[in-house]
Amino acid sequence: MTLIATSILSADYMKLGAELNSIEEAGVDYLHLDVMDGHFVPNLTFGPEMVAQMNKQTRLPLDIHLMIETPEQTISQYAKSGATIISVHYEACDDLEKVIKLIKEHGCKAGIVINPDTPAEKIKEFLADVSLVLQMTVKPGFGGQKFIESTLKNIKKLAQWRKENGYDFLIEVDGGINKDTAALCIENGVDVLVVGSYFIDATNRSKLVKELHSL
Amino acid sequence: MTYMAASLMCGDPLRISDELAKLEEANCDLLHLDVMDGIYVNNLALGPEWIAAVKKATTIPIDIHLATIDPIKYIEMFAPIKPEYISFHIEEAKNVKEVIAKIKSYGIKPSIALNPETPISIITPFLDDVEMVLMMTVNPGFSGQKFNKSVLKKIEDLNELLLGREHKPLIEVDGNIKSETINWMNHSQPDIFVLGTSALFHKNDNESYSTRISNLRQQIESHQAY
Repeated sequence: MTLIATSILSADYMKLGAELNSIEEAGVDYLHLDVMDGHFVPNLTFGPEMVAQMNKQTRLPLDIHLMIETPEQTISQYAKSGATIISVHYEACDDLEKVIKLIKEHGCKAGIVINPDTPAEKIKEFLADVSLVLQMTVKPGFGGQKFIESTLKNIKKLAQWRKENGYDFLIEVDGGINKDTAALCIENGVDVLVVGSYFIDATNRSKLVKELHSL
Repeated sequence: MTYMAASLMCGDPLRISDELAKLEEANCDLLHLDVMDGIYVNNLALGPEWIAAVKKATTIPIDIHLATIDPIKYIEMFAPIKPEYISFHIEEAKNVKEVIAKIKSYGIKPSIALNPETPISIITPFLDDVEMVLMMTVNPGFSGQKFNKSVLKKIEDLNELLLGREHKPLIEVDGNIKSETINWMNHSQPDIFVLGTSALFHKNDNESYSTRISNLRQQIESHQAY
């Protein structure tokens, strides 16, 4: 079954508690939280305190995507806030191996994120150590963007290396996911779909989740 | 005139629309919104999309405090929201005049923020150019810190400096503001009080925000009579 992670980037921030309940009731598998600092990406969202509050409201496991500079400095804050998975950008880490280790030491599953224009080869040496690889299918920073098809090349490679080496990481995609792009991703080996506006704007959220689950 | 500013970061992030309704009912004058970039302060909060949603949902004017490095970059990120005020940290401004001009270019009132240990002398050349001075009474970053008493002297000095001047920026204080610390500022008062957890959003009793705000207003104004 394809797993669904809902991003709250385009949710109603004024009624976040009610949004979280609705997301959970729709049957998704993860709550995907986009943490941005305005430095690594040209947008800023929220930090560990908000994450901790959301964790109190929902039973969904938290899949945290850190779009920040020097993530090693705040891994512990997000672990304490209730993270299940913490993913860091290859492009943001001087010593990725160390950051992955740090995430695991804090009791969380570790993930690596790569931007659309980063070749998958760059992270090949770390694949045995992680539970998740998040392929950005848009430039990180804003919701509602169009899926970049050239990222399928990376996805194919990741799926192939996983098979060849018997790795067990999940492949997640984030950005411009709808039914059509989701199908393309799954064909190529993706396990987890991050859905933002496509989910938030759906008239029947549970029905959408069922459809995506069965793709 | 005394203004009460609610620091919305200290409210319930899961129920912001309820918080806003209660603050409007309490005649709260300003919403104080802390933007933290994880680098200037070791905390991350309140993005532009979040603040834009707040602006849409309320009639209370918005006062953005950029607790960030690189103020120009963050002004560009937050100015499109058109808040009433944007405060930037003078400690992080390479060219203060340029930063002030940048804020003004969007039709927003500029304000200088300064940390407890930053001396008043640093801001005096710019007093005619800003509409507000945000005096931090704790180090920015986290709520629940102790009021730094050395700021009392700075408020006094700034009030004295502004005496008789044609252009008088408002003085705003932020950090552990509550009945007790407000008393410490009795003989030289600021104009805007930022209320966070200790004065407004706490759950120590069942008083409404309305009661809490009007009690503090009364306490402050009773000293203005003398």
